[in-house]
Amino acid sequence: MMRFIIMILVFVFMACDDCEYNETRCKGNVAEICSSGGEWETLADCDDIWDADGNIWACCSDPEGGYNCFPEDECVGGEL
Amino acid sequence: MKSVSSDNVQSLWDYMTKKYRSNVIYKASSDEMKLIASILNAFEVVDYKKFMSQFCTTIGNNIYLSTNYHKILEVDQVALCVHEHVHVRQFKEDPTSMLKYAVDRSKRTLYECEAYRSNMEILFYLTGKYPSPTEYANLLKHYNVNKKDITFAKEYLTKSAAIIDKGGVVTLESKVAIAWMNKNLPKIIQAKVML
Repeated sequence: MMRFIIMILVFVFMACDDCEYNETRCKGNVAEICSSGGEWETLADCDDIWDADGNIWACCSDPEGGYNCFPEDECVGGEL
Repeated sequence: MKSVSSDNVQSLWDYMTKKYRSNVIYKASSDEMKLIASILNAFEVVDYKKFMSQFCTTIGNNIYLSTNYHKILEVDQVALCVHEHVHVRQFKEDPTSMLKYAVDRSKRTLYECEAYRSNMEILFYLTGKYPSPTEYANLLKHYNVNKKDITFAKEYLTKSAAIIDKGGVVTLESKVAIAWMNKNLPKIIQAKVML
């Protein structure tokens, strides 16, 4: 029984990646946003953005606050 | 001034339904939708007539079009086609998404945000403009979510708008539809459709 409880606790702590809703971050080259349920969710995978001008996109800090995908030459700082 | 025709829209539907193996059904001819509308009406979630006439609904691979579908502008019909196929893909990627959509308002908000982002991408591609992220976020009030969810939707869609304004397209179904339009409606795309 004790072993079962420990396993449950380990699972719960492993699953937790709490965040403040509307918070954003870069995880690799993916912009993530914290959902209203308090979980990190993908906002945009910058590598997968289609762009008619053929720009390469990167995840970096947003002058408006937080993080987002931008054409690489507009990136001023990342959290890679 | 060129515009997307009904035939163009139908051709896109044909392409998308074939590619995503989806089915299009009119709500008016669907007994399941009439039953759902009655249940929602009984629980005072949404009025029967409103559910049937104003809301398109996707369940699994089945897309149920509202009775008012043909009254909306063709560019909005294009956006709707893409929006509903976002839901088809969400279900294919995660068959539990329908359950999550039904019981978890935060997940429901997220699924709808992704779908509304595709509306913004398609309208921007066709017309160079789109309704504001706030307008889209406020549409979620019809989805039984709370203020926190609406605030999240505004942030999600505002961040998405920043990408769209710089010419980026994130949503897979928007990319599929745009590639099809580039190939099949080049003159319209060059002229940029006017609302």
